[in-house]
Formats: sequence, structure tokens, C-alpha cells
Amino acid sequence: MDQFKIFLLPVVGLVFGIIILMLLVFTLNSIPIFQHEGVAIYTTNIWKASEVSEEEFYGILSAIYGTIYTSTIAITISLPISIGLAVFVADLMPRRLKELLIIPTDIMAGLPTILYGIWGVFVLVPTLAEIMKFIHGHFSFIPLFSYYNPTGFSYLSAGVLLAIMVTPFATSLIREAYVAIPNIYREAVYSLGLTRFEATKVLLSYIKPAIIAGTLLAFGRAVGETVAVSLVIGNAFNIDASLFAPGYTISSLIANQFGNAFAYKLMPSALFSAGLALFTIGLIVNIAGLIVLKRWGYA
Amino acid sequence: MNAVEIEGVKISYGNLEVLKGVDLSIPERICFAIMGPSGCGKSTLLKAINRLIELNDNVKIRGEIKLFGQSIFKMDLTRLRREVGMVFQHPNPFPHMSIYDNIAFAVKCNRIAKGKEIDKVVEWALKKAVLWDEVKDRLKNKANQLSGGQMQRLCIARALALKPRVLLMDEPTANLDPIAASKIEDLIQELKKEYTIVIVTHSPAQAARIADQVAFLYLGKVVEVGDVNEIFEKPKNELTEKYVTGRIG
Repeated sequence: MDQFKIFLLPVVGLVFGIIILMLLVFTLNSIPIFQHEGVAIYTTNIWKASEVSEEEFYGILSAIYGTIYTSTIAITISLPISIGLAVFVADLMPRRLKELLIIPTDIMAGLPTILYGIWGVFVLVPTLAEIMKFIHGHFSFIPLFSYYNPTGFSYLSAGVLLAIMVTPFATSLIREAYVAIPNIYREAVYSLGLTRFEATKVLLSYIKPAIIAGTLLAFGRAVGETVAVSLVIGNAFNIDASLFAPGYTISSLIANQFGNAFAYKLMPSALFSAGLALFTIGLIVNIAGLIVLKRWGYA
Repeated sequence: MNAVEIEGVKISYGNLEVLKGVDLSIPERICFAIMGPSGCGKSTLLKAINRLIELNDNVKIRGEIKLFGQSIFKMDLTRLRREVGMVFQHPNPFPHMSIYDNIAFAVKCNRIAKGKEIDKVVEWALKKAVLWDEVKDRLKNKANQLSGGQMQRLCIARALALKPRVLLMDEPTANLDPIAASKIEDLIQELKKEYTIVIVTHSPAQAARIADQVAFLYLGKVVEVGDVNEIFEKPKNELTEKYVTGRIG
């Protein structure tokens, strides 16, 4: 047994080593930009590339804002759909038809994200643009809809696309937890003269930690998604409350700026520090999700 | 009028017939025990009375069950389950809810009471289940902090709060220690003055202690039914005699 443990140790070490090394690389490479402008990299919205390194100044606040904004939109849309889908599949579908819905959602979860991106550009964005113009025409006094002349490339498009991408993942997590509710509680719920809706509400409250964890992990995925988002978000250094405004996310910023970053002295370091921010957000969200899942041990 | 009337009930899971034609009349305000060895279909029969058995896939039910003269298959399902409360083999209060909420939420959903009245119903039910004194100072605590016996009494309170007329109990003491079990048995003696109690048990001794009438179920059929003294002192059927004397089961 002990020999077996020793045999496995390098594998475990490798996994931890990679995470630590990555964090190290991101931190070390961020140092030049921190020395140059301090935390302004995270607190300002300026993107000034210059041949003269003294004049370079980078602030990625708009990308941090966009990342959180789009992921929040995604979760807001995806959560009710995920729960509804999970309950529908578990409780209402005939046993034989279940697979018909489960398999496509599982496939959706595994598709290359660029496919969603292309679909987003050619179908989602034009469709949403029409809707946005209509809503803007009538409700522009509401800040959420206030952006002038929406093109469709926006926080909303990115959020909707992300919602479509994370729903299969969130729904399978919630479904697994829902199906795993011990039968004794199911029987108890139904023995109490509750309507189906009331009974489902009680059962869902029983798996609330799983729903929270599913939400956090889905948020983590949305935060990290790159290609699809960068195709539909408009890639503008912009901080706007309006859903219809174009913006940036950290990952799309890195992907877009990477190509020309090495022409400047400090831009690579700025992108590394953006990566560090993404790393931190992802780490916090995922760890929080895992902690909630772990703690979930009543019965 | 009888509280529950079971007429020619046959129940099968897929191809397996568990109940092979059961007829029983259960009078009002008594404790009626259904006893028999494991796998004889007692729980299935009990869960047929509040139609909980239909939660399982592939269940087929034939025959008729009447609650105070009315066919349960024609009743509104939520009404049926309000009038027929149930207590299970495993104490199953919702562990994520408080002691108070375990009772209050079903009271709210069934519109038994509103606002401040709910507190009164909760207190009444907990007193009825002889749990009030033990939990009155920690109603907001989670239900999973209770002992097994307390959990089971909470489940009884939860069922009583809906003001049922019939209370089904599926081996309610099977998972409890002897002291907790005897508390539940005492409680049943009290409750049968107001409610019709149908209890499933695999223990002839328990049936003898608490029941007024007993049915002996064996391999999906009623072998014998009658007053508790008759069944235990002069059983008509040889199988019954063997069972109550502990030679089968």
C-alpha cells in the first residue's frame, strides 16, 4: 500500500506543481506593470500602447467589469432554465424519453466553443440587434436599455451566448443532485397533501447547496470562456450599465491583444496581470463552489 | 361507516404481483394493525391507501379503496393525502428545515391556518405528539439535531398538523431503540381515541400490545382478520397460529 502511495505521489505533485508554477509565472510576469503603475492596472480604464515605454499605460477595469457583467447575465438566464430542465427531466419525462434530452445536453456541454461563437455572430447577434432596437426605441429611459444605436455586439449577446453554453453543465449538476434526493424525503413530501409545485419547491430547497455550487461552477466557466465571447461582445474598452453596450472581457482582451503585445515593452506584462486577475476570479469562484458542495452533508 | 374499505385490491410491480386480492374493512377510531413477514405486501397495501405507491414506476393497481365511503381514486390527490396522514419506517423530517418549518410549511400549503394561527397549529401538533416540552425552546433549530425517536414524533406531529382522519404508520418503531419505541406506542394508544390508525408491523408482539383489530397478511393475501384477542388467543387459521407464536416470519 505504501509503495503504491509513493508510486502515485509524483502524479499528485505534478498537478499541484502545475497550478503553483502557473500562478508563479503569472505573478512574476506581472511585476513590471505593477512597478510601472501599481494597482492602477486594475482600477483604471485606459489602454494606451506606446513606442515610448514611459508613456505606456494600461488599465483593464472595463474588462474585469465586462467579465463579471456578462457572466452574471449568463447565470441569471441559465439558472431558472437549468432548474426547470433538471426537474422536467427527472420528474415529468417518461423513463425512456429521458435519454433523448440528456444526451443532447451532454453533447452541447462538450462542443468546441468556437461553434457557439460562429453561431453567435451570424445568428444570435443580428437577431438580438433587432430586439434591442425595438426595446431601446420604447424603453430607452431604463438604464439597462439605454445604449444608443445598438449593433447587437454587446454584453447581452455575450451573456446570452454564455447562458446557452453553461446551461447544459449547470443542468446536469442540478439534475444529478435532484435525482439523488433520498426516496424517504420524496415520499414524505408527497404524503403531505402538497401540490406538485409545492412538493418540487421543498425538494429543491433540500438540494439548495448543490444549486449554489452548480451556479458558482457555471459562473466559473462563463468567466473563463474566451473565443465565443470575443466574437460577440464588441471588444470595446467600455464601462456601461446598458445591456446593449459593447464591452470587453478579460479573456477576450488577452486573446485580442496578444498578437501585437510584443511590439510594446509593457503590454505583455499588462496581459499577464490580466491573466492573474482571471486566475484569481476563477480560483475564488471554483473553490467557493467546491466548498459548498463539500459541506453539503446533512442526512 | 368504515374509515377505510379495501375491496379486491391487487397490486403488481411490472410482472410481479405483490397483492393478490385483498379485502379489508377498517372501522373508525381504532388502531388497526397489518402484520406479516417481510415481503408479504404490507407496506404496499398501506401506501395504496394514500396512493403513495403510485410514485413508483410500473405499478398497476386494481380493485377499489374507499375512504369514508368515497373512492380514493376519484378524490383530489392533495385532499386525499391531507385526510390520510402518513408516518414512515425511517424518521424523515426534512433535515434542512427547522423543527418549526417542518410542520409549518405543509400547514401553510394546505391552508390549514394563516399568519399567527400557524404558531398555534404547530404548538398543538407538537403537544399532540408529546414532543412540545422537549423542543419548545429550540423550534428554530434544524430538525436533524433531534434524536431518532424525537424525529419520529416530529413526523407524527407533521402529519397530525394537517388534521387528518386516518393515520397510516409504516413500521414506525422499526428503527428506534426500545425506549423511544415504547413512547411511540403509548402515543398511538392516545391517538386512536381521535384518529383511525392503520399500522404496519412485522412484530406480532407489537400488534398484540397496541392494536384493536389485526389482519395477518401472508404472501399477498389476508390469511385472517379479527379482534386482537381472537387472533392471538384462538386463531382460526393454522398459519396465523404459527406466525403469532413465532414459528414463521
